[in-house]
Amino acid sequence: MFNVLLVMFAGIAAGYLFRKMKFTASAGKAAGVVIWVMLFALGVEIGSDPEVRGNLSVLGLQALLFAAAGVIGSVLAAVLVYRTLFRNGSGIAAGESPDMEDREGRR
Amino acid sequence: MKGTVATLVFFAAGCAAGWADLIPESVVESDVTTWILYVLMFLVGIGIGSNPDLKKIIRAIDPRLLVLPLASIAGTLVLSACVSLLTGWGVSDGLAVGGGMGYYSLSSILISQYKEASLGAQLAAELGTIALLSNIFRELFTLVASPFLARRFGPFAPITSAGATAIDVCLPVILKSSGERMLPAAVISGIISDFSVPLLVPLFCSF
Repeated sequence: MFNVLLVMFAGIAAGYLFRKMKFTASAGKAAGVVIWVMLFALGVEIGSDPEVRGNLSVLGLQALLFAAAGVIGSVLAAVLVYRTLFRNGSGIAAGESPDMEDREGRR
Repeated sequence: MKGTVATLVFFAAGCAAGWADLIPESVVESDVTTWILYVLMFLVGIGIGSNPDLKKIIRAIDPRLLVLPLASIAGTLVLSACVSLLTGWGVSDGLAVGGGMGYYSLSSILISQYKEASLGAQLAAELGTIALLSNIFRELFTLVASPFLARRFGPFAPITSAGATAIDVCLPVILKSSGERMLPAAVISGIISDFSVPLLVPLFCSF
């Protein structure tokens, strides 16, 4: 179970050690490709099982409920944090803003 | 957005291939995917470790801003646990889905792999699909509703609603609806939500 975390921390260490080398910059792109392979594999598992196939509409509905839970829970948290800690609106813009690379493919 | 469409296309192509029996049983049953997952996690780690902005980001942090993603994760988990009771899933199943924080690809893959031990292959694949869809819905809703969320619930609402996607897919729409000054808040919240996914999802899969 925690092998997967171990592997990730090994990756973080490797990424930090070799951060000056070019190949680390393409890790995100490579991860994107691997993610597509894994999603294809998940699809195969769903598609090849007749019982799961029949459940897809139920799964979609439950997914909607979980999405609503995530949105409502996090928006309530945002309201709470804003009202308790940031009422005066200060401090939010502090600090320089790091440049963001395009990581869209990774998601 | 491009990434979201590609994700759905690969998932749908897999469904079609599985339905049409194009993939031999021996490949489906093997643990090839476990090893691919290790490769994936290693790559995700390299991406985090080699991030040239890592130090800059850490230095720019207003400590109060750390509260935002932590509260957002907590809020998501609490309500996800409630929904799991409504839908008949176990609480740890609901926590694993909510722990995806909008990072739909990684969370669905982790769940379908690691829930297999406690739920069996079929239910694990079903829960993985729920994680995939619900986290995509969350991203799509945030993209569409950000202006409304910012107006009605304050500038932080689009940021937390976006979860991990506050740092990439949803960032432009967040800055537009909450204002440019929300950039540090969005970046920090997005990064912490992002990093929490490979930690929280396996954790909730182990129960």
